[in-house]
Amino acid sequence: MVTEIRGGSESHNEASGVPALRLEDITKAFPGVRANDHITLEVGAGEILGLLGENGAGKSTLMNIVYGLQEPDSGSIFVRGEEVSIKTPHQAVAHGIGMVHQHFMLVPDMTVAENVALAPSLTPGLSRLSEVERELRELSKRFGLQVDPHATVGELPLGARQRVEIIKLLYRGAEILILDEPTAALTPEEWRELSLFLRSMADEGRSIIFITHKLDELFGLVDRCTVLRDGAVVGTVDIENTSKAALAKMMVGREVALRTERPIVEPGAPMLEVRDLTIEDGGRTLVSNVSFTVRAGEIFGVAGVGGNGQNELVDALVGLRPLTSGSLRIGGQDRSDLDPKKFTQAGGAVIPEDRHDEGLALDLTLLENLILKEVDSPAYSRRGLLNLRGAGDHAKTLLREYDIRAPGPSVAARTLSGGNQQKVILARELSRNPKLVIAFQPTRGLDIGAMEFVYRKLNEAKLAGAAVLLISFELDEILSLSDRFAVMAGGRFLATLSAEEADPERVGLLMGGEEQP
Amino acid sequence: MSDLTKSKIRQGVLDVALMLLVVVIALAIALVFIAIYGVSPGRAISAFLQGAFSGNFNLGSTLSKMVPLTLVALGWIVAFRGGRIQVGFPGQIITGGIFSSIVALKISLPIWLHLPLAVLAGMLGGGLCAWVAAWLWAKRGVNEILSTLLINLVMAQILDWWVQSPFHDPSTPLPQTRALPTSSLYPVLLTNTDLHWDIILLPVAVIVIAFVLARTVWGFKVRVCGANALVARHSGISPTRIGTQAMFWSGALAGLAGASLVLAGTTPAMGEVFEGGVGFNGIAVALLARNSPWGVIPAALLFAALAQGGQVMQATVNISSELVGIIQGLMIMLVLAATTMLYLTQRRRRKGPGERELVPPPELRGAELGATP
Amino acid sequence: MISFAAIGVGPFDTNLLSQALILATPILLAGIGELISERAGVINVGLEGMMLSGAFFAYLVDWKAHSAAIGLLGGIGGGLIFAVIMGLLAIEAGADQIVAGVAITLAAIGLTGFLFEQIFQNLQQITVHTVHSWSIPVLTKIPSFGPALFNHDPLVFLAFILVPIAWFLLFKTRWGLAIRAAGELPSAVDSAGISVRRVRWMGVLCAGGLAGLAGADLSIVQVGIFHEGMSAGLGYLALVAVIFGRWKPVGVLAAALVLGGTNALQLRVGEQPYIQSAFWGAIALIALIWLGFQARHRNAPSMTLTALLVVAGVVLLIVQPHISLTQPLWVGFPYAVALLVLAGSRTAARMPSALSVPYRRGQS
Repeated sequence: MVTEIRGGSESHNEASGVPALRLEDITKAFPGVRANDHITLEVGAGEILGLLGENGAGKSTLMNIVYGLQEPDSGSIFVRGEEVSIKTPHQAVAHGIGMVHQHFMLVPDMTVAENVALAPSLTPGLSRLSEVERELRELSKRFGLQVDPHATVGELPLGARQRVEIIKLLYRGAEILILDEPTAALTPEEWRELSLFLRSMADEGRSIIFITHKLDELFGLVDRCTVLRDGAVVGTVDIENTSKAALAKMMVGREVALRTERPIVEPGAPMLEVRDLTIEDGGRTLVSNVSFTVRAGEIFGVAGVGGNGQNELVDALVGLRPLTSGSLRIGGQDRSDLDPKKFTQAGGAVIPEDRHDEGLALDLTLLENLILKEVDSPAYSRRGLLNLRGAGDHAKTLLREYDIRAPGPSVAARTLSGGNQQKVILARELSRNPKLVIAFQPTRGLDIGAMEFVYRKLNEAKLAGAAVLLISFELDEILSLSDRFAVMAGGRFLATLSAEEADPERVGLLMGGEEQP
Repeated sequence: MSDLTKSKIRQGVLDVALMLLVVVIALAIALVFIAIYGVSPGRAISAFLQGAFSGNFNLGSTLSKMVPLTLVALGWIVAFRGGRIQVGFPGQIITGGIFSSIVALKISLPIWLHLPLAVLAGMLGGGLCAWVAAWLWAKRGVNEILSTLLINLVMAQILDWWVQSPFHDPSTPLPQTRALPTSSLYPVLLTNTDLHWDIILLPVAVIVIAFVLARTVWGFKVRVCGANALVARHSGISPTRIGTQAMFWSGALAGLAGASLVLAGTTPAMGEVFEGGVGFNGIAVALLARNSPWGVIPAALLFAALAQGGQVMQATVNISSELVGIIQGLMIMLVLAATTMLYLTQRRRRKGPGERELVPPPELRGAELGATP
Repeated sequence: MISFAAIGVGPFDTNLLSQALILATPILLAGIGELISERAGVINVGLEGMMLSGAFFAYLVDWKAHSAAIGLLGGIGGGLIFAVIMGLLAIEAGADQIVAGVAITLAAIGLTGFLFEQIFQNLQQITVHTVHSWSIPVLTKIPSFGPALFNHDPLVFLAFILVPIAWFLLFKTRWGLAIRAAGELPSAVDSAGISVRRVRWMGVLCAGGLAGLAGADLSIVQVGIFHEGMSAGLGYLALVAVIFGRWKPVGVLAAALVLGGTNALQLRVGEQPYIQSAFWGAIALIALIWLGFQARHRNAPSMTLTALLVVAGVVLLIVQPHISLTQPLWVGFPYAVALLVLAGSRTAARMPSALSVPYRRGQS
């Protein structure tokens, strides 16, 4: 059972008793949603507090309030025992609060030093970059964080950008660090470095709030963990006295199966055959000599950290980007000169990475989004005119079949929740009985319920004889769904493994680019 | 479902109320200007209303001014729905007028052939003028807003030259073409007024554009490209091809407006200033109509009345008709501010916390400047 | 007006150089302001209207105050009025910046026309005090091009001095860091504790004030009169100059010189009965320089086009055809050149990423 220690001070590293940051009774309501419901939590000096919750549980709203990006409806914030009012990020910085956002707040075109020098100042003076550079060198030596102040941020790998974010906070003198899901873009190795570093920061007396929805990351890092659900605190537990399963139950509110069953089917004919696929752009090789085959009735996974050529690979496979060299066969036919139309005609379906940017036209209705790819087919149009009745019937059927919660097919896609929007995409793509399904990060930003739905639908597609290519940055997702999978790093496939021979340790090293661990 | 219908009706009522508010505020500000110059607002209003609506002649002029405004506004809507912001209507109207004048003056035919041919030539001219900008955008990545603005300036000079040199009427020192033959002109609908038969274009064009956008596959594709170009590409729809086509037809509508201005004008000749600001005012009409083809009719009526009433007001109470320009600029600004606010309050009411932080909603983003999809 | 000796070949003499500098000045002034505004993430299609408003209010204030210096302040004020409206719409309301710019231009045309007609309709065309020329003491004495370069009204000098100043502000100060970051990733500015609104307001006001000054240059510096619509598209040319200048001060300078030079050339060649061979030579030369520039960027398709232009220029230079164009076509010439310039340069990649995107703090 979970031991709840509300505001307990036993686990604080310092016994002084005054917490570095205390939030009391914070409430923030948006019309229709209570994002934060009387939240009270505190973090002591030298302590790492985990803040765990599903997407939409209110973690980010809470931290935006602490950082002055949003104002609470009621409640108080205490910094080192004193009540403060934080209305702007400027005030938060002045109180020694620093935040690493989920999306890096770094200007890609500017150098590391310029990014760090970007700070409010009373005098409109010189930027004095050489001084900033010197201080940065000192800081990076002191904390063992390798950062080149001259480098242009846009050219740095994601792990290095994260170091820049953190060193930026240190430069600004932050004593209380908030990290909002900082691990999405890190390899296991980079994650290990980050956690060691955070620990050493805490040992120096700084306080850290670590926001995540991944249970694994909490163990071995945080001292205590506060769990949020539906905007309210479910409990605060000492990490030593709890377990993954217990935290998961607190987070979701019910028992969850952490692994889905993987149905075994005898794979059929090869549906997608990729040979020596290479993609270059502006002199850079983004995907290099990738070869693989996906057969009917199997899920083939591509594991790896984001930004290692996955986007370009997917773009090429759906016909949005030309191949520099190599060949591509779909359903046994050569499709090296693919375009999105041919991809769809060949029986291809795609669940794109970003449902807002690539998946849906948010201002069009559900009906229109559902017929997007088939508008030229006789079922939905005749002699250049739309067949609204046919499309309407089709849309209503899909809303029912895919359990899409919407008032009707004529509402704009924008009005739906993220999970329901993803279901609209699934409905559009999978209802066409595709022969090949390309799913790129299909559960990004979804809660556990919607995730299970996506997994079920992908498995159903596999059982129905489709070849499924699953590209995901979440190793768990790859391991629980794929029959076979490859690890992608630096634009190349480093190894192809079957589900049976997968060993998370080895896969982790491969994701970091270690070829022969 | 009935809840859905109700909320849509409520939405519509709110939209109309908001636009009425915008009109009232803009007119009130105009009255302040009038009062500053010592004219009593009552006198100015009555002069304005008489000028716009009283008597066959004034009413006919107002209705006749509606036609090009409506066509240009529809042109803006077609391009805008396709995600393209082209502001080359003045240049496209001029090109349309020039093309029409060529057919009118260089060919002689019976009216049933001559007029339609001159009108089609105007459409072609406007379309080609827009197509140049569309081509520059699609193939060379030139931002269509800037290219169309520059083309406007070039076309204004070409028109200057056109009515002074090759098509100049030698019998007058005025910069205008020779009198166009009657067979090429729209017949007058109401004698002793400016109202010509081109008024039938007004309902026809509105219905056609509304139908094309809502019910045809092409219109659907245009809307998809405007809503999300990347989704369009994923769906096998080329935003550059559809965008180019949308711009062509947008220009063709402006060219049709240009043909009306030339072939249904007060005098049967094309002068140096025949465009008369219709190109930009048409954009204002479309914005006031909130980019709805049906809303264009009342918005165009308002703008036409402003233009006609303003002219009469200048003659009777000595207030410069340039005031109309101020009102029009003000209305666009107020519409912009009002719709943005409306959008934000609705979004907040409907959704609460957004899913992704710090990313603005796509319809508040400007055009993708310069970028070729 | 220009009394010094002209030296050169055909229409290409030092007078032309002097004229080019004068005509480049309003484009450069407005262009530098727009550069700062766009770097901060706000595109200002209303530049044309702000320029017109500056021209009118400079004229009005000059007339009332009998002082060209106060008139210049009036011009800045005239630009700022519409910059404030632009800021309210684009920054506070988060409206579409391009449509807002179109509205501002329309309103400025209306307002200046209305006030001009109301105030001056019963008066004769009034010429107001203009700003006196300055000559830089020693440099003006340089033979041949000395007077052409160093004997000008102060705004010419100001415009050119603004280029290094803008460079310094943008790239060497904290203010410039904030401006540039606001145009690339405004959320980073916000998160650093700097108000994005304030930074963008500064950009918009810079653009408005300098566009107003550029307008004043047109009315009370160059000619001493105002007429309706006198900005005549120069505001749009300033927008082109920012794009062609790849959002860099020196680039804007180069673009303003090209456009101002084209304008001067147009005025000069338009006066001649037919096009002189030197004009074709100039076209071939400019195209050749441009070709070299493109070769560095390996822009193959536009290199073919430019190469054709070089060949055409040389052929026409040799053939020397008797072609004459009427005045209006020459007036349209700089705009056509601007269009070609845009078509020939692929600069979208250098554009500030958040240009024209309203910033709104996220709710998450």
